[in-house]
Amino acid sequence: MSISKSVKGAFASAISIAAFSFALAPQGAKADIALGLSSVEFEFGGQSLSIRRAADGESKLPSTYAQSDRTCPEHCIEPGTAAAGVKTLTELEVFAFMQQNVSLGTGLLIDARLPTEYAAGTIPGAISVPGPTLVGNNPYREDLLLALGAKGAIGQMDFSGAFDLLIFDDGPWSPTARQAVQLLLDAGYPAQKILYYRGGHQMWHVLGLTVSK
Amino acid sequence: MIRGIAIFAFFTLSTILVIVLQPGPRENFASTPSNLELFETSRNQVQVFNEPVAEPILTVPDDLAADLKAARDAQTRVEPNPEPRLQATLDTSAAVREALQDSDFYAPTAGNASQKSTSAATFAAILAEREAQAPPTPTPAAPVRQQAVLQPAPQSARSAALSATPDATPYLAPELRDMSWQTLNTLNSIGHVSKAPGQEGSLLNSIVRRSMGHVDGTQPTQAILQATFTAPRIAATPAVQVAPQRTARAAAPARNGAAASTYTVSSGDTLALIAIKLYGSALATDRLLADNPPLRRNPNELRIGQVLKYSMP
Repeated sequence: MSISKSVKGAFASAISIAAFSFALAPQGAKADIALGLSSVEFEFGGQSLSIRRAADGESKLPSTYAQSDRTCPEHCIEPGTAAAGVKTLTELEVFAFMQQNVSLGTGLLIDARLPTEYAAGTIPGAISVPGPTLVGNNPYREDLLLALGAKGAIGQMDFSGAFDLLIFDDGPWSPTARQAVQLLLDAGYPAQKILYYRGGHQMWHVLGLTVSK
Repeated sequence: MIRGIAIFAFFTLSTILVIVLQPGPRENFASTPSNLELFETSRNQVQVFNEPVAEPILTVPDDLAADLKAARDAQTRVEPNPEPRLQATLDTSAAVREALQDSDFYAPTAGNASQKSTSAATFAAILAEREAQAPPTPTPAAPVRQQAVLQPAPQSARSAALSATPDATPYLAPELRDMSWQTLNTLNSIGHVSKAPGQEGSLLNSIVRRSMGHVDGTQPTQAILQATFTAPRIAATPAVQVAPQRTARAAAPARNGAAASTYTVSSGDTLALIAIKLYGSALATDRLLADNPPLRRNPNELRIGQVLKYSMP
């Protein structure tokens, strides 16, 4: 009787210690995106995508985004707004854009970085429209604008059916997205159809959000 | 019950003890210090003990003190006033913003080149630098298709366009062209504007249209269209076939009497960077390639010390 009791006690204590240590270990940590929001689900191109926070206890910034010494003529800190009339979004607003505009097929997530950087990993659902392709003397700019949903010829384009664009780049120290916004405005794209995610890839990584490859 | 608690406590305590009181690294008895080391340490100790602690502070020589003071003064003098620097930064960023607002990138026309150069140069430089770090995956069929389109063009027309109005019809950097095509492809594949291949508004149509405008502004003839549509099959054969024609055509601008010069490739150069250095725009990469037939055949054959020919418009 007493032996079985002690065995039982030892067993119980072992289990409780195990449970205790498991609770302390980082593996079990819960990482919601916001209070009451464990993941963001949305649809793009007939695919359902999901965004979560990294919760494996080992997630670290990739070396590109851990670097904090950046030279300024290239990596200056960007202003809060990309251009007059273009709204700057925070992460939670980006999620709302994904769930509403992108899921409905009226909005596009635009990665303004170069294709090589896009290929190395991007925000889920984003498509690559490198900023330099929107320059005024690129002969294909008109075709790009048509592909973005504009109608008519250059100079008198009708943008009423065009996509809402959420433009982002490498981070708040990268001018690419702001320049892309400026080039789109120069091309006649209406400001109220353009949104700017200033945090970009840097903040996306800092927050441990899902990156698609 | 009590026994259970006792056992639980025992397990917890032992776990904590094992974790907390882990034996540290032991002293390494295997390596005995050599005589020299022993001598050194002993001498150092003797020195430390002999040294009076307070003495050095009291007996700083006057000249040394003067030197120290001069150095400290120099330091404070060198340290800049943060106010003007911040103001300068704000000024330059404002200038960049202004330049951004009224410029289209990659178009340094002669008149207002100085004003536009800031934004265009930064974007182009970043582009060139990133290209240098990681060259984009080339679309194998695309360049060959372009060549096939250009072949039937009259050589005189093209060389005339080259020398006459270089700024009005800037040459599209191959990287930018490839990027544009890729982007168009992805955008069209979303399904918002699905166009049959070759139809007005499709990628193929626009490529044909632009290429024609690029050569002499005429509408595409049936023969040229045929060449375009058969191009993907040509892609399987090596580029050697097209090479002789290209060299012949590339020699044209030199014959035209443009001022020809040479440039020696230094370390860290890329084609786009050289184009920026010589012509002020990465878009001039095409012109650089046209003047240097070996590079035209294989743009990766850029070597340090290589002498490139180039002609100023």
